[in-house]
Amino acid sequence: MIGFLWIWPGLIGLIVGFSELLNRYKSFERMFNIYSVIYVTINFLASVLVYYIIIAYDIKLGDIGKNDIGKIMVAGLGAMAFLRSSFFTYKMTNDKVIEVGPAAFLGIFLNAAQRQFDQVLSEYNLKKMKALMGGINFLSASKDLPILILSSMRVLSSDEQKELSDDILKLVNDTNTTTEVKNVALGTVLLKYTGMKLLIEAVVILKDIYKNKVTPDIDKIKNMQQQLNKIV
Amino acid sequence: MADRYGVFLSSYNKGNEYMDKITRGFFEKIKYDVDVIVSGTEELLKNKFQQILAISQNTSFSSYDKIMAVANILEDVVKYAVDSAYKRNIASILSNLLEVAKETEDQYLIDMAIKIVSAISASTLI
Repeated sequence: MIGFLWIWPGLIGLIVGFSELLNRYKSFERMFNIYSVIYVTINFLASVLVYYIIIAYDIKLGDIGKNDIGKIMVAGLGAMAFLRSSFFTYKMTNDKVIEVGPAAFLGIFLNAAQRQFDQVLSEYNLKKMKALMGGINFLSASKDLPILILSSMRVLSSDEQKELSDDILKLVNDTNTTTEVKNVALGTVLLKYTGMKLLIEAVVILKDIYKNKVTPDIDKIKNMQQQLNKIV
Repeated sequence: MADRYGVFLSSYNKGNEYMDKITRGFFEKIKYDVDVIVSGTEELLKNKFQQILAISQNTSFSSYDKIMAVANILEDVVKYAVDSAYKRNIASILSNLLEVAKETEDQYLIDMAIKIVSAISASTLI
């Protein structure tokens, strides 16, 4: 007897799906569009399906399956893993294992939804980054902008700081990419950690600092070099 | 507080191959002038420029730290440059430091290089 209990694994599956997107994109901004809805709905349906299978086939889950809460948890949290389990694989005589269950089928839809969601988000971010990061001094900004942001944020772990540094250094050390593209890429890299609002604020502050300092200073340096070279 | 960006900064400075290249070039360009001063007769300058040689060979400093350390030493010695027989060598080294500041566009280094050269400018070297 399933009754209305199916709703619970469905809701857990939905939250799991949403948390997967959140973990990947690290922000609630622009999270809601048709593709993210499809993604979490597939997770919802997969969880309900697994719950139905557990009940209908009376699958033994050990101690956790002795009551409804355990079955709901297994179906909700482990739907895709369950659908990939040995329950849905068939071992042929030549030791080849083939998947007969719905995991691969659902996986195709999940990947497509995720890819589309990624494209929508990337398109929006690229447009924003091009306008925001244009004309910025890349070399200085590659260090100054993260420091400006990190000094105000409290949640970035050492591992995340290292990962951020590695990503930015790939751009700094690359000699084949144009500065304009590096600027957009720098903004996109930082966006993963900051969200749009903080990044915009930090870039505006940095541009304001640079506007008042770098250009005249470079001219001053050139002038000083000319004078020193006269002595040499 | 420093940990908020300490790991980033340390990792960035250590992995910055672009800065490594500029720093290597800087030490190559100033080698002749540093050698002249180190093998010269002015003890104070000799000691200070021996430190620059040691910094150039230090493998535990990041390139950025090396350049900043050299800038700090130059800041110390610049007041002696006006009366020194090695005025030209020091001017050449300073010119190269300005070049690094210009290339890296690092605001702190730019400020420091300008401060150092301005100090001797005020002392009529320039």
